[in-house]
Amino acid sequence: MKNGEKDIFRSAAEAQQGLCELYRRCGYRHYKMSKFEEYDFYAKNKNFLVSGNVITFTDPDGRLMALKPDITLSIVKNARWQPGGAEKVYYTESVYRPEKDGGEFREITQTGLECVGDLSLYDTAEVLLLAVQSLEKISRDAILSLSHLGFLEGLLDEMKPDEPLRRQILRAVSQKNMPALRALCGKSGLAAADGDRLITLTGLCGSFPETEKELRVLNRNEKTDEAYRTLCAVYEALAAVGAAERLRIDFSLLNDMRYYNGIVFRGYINGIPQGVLAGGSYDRLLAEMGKPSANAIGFALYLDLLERLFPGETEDESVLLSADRDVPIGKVLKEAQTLREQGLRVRVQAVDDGSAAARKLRLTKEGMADADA
Amino acid sequence: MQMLNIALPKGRLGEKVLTMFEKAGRSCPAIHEGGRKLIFECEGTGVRYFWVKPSDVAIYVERGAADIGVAGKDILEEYSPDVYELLDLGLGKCRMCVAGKKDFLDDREKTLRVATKFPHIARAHYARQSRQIDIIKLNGSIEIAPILGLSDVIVDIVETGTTLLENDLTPLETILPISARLIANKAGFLFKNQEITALTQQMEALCENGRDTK
Repeated sequence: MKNGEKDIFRSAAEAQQGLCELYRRCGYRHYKMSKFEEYDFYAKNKNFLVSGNVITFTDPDGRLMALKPDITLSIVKNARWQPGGAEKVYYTESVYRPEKDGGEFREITQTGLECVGDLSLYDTAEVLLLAVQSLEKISRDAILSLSHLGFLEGLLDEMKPDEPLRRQILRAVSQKNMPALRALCGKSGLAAADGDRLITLTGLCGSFPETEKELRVLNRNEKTDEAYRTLCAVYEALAAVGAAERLRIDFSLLNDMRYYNGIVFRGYINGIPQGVLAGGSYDRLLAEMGKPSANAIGFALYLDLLERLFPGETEDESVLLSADRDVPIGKVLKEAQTLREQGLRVRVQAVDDGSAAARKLRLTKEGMADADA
Repeated sequence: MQMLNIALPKGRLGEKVLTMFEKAGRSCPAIHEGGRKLIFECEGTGVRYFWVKPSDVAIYVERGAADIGVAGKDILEEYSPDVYELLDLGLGKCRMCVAGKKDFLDDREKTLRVATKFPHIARAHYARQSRQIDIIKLNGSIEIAPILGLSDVIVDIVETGTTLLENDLTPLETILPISARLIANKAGFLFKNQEITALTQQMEALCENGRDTK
C-alpha cells in the first residue's frame, strides 16, 4: 500500500510521537534514561562514541559525571533477557555532543530502537522493516541504503593489507574514490583480481535484484558467503511485506568495524543532504562490554535534521482579538473560547500591537467587529 | 526530470571544467552571456550551474545545495568533507609541498615552525614523521614567512615554483599531488543516481581521451 499524504508526519513533534507509537506496537518497551551518567562509563567505551568530547561536571560526592553523549551504550549495559529471548526497547532522548570531533557541542534529539539478546534473522528483518516504515512516515521519497560489513571484510581478508593500507582502502571505499582505490590496490603486491573485486563492490549502487548477480560473482569465502546469504534473506523478507523497494545496496556505507559487524544501514530523505537514520548490528560492542555470544541491532533517527522538511508555523488560522477595557473580562474569555471552538488560534491583547495575524478582531461593548472596520 | 545542481569553482579551472561538462552533453547557453549572474539553468539538459569560490565548493556539495561539484584535492584533504570523490579530472594539477629557504637545514632538536594555509594537512604530514611542529596559520603571502623569520618552512601549493623561486625559496618535499576532483553529495548520489553515474562515466571517458591525445 502506498502512503497517502495524510499518513505522513507534518511536524517534528508529530514524528516523534508517531514513531514511538510505531515501535510500541511492535512490542518495544519505552527506555527512559537519566540525562547524565558517570563519566567513567563513557570513558571506557570512548571509541564507540561519535566524538570523544563529553560535557562533564562533578556531583556533590565528587564523582565525575557526564551529560549523556549516547543512548546505545546505556541500553546495552542495562539490557536483560532470558535465553533465546531479547530486550527490545525504543527511546526518544537528547544527547549532547559535537557533530564531529573538534566541533561545538550541540543538543541532538534522537528517536530510535535497540534490540539486544539472542537474536535471529527475524529480528534483523523486523528492525529493517521498522527503519523503512519510519522513513516512509517522514517522506514518500526515502531510501534505505544497506550494506553488510562481512562482505567488505571477506574481500579484505583475501588481500591481507597491512593496517595503514587497510585504513586508506576503507577511507577510499567510503568516498567511492575509484582512482584512489585503483592506486591503493595496485600497491604493495596486492593481487590485481582482488583489487578489481573490491572496486566492483564499492561501485555497486542499486536495488538488491540489480546488484545480486554481481554479488554472487564477488562471493569468495565464508565471510562473503554469510554476508550474501544474510542480504538475500532480509531482502526476501522485506519484499514479502512490500518494503524492499526502498532498499539500495551500497557498500560505501561503513560503520566502525571495531563495534559493528554484519548489516549496517542509513536512511535518506530526498531534500535532506545528510542521512537522517543510522543503524546496524553491533555484536562486537557487546563482546567488548562483556556480553559475548549475544547480538544487537538498532537504529536512531536524527529528528533535528527534519526541521527544514516540515512547513513552519503559519498565521493562516490565527486571530488577534483586541478587547476594549470596558468589556467584562468574562465576556472576552467567552468570545475567545467560541472562536477557538471553530478551530481558530486566538490571541487576546488589549490593543492591536501590529503583530501578524490572518484576521484581526475588535471586541467592544457593542459586540465583535473586524478591527479595520 | 530532476534538475542536477552543479557547483563550479570560479576562475580558470572552472571554465575548463565547464567545457568538460558541456562536452558531456550538459551545456547551458545562458552561462556564456556574461554579466554578474552566478546561477544559470537549462531546462533542456536538466542542469543548474552556479559559480562559487573554489574553496567553498565542497561546502555546497556536503550540505546538499549542489549535488555535484569540482573541488581541488587540497581542499578535500584539508577539510575532509563527507562527500563521494568520484573522479580525478586531471585538471589544475599541482602539488602540496614543504618549502624553505635554499640554505635551510632541518634541525630535529628544535620544534619546527610551519606557516601554512593548510594546518590539517601540515599536521598530518609531520605526525607521520613523528615530528612536533608549531603551526602558524596564515591566509596569504605564505612565502614571506621564512624570509621574515616567522617560520622555518611553509606548507603550500606549488604549481610551477616561480613564486617560490622569486622569494628565494625552494621545494623541499612533496606531500601530495593535487588535481581537481568530481565530488558528489551522498544523499544526492542516491536520489539522482542515474544522472550522476551517467555524467561521471561521460566525464571519465573525456578524461581518458584527454590523456590519449596528450
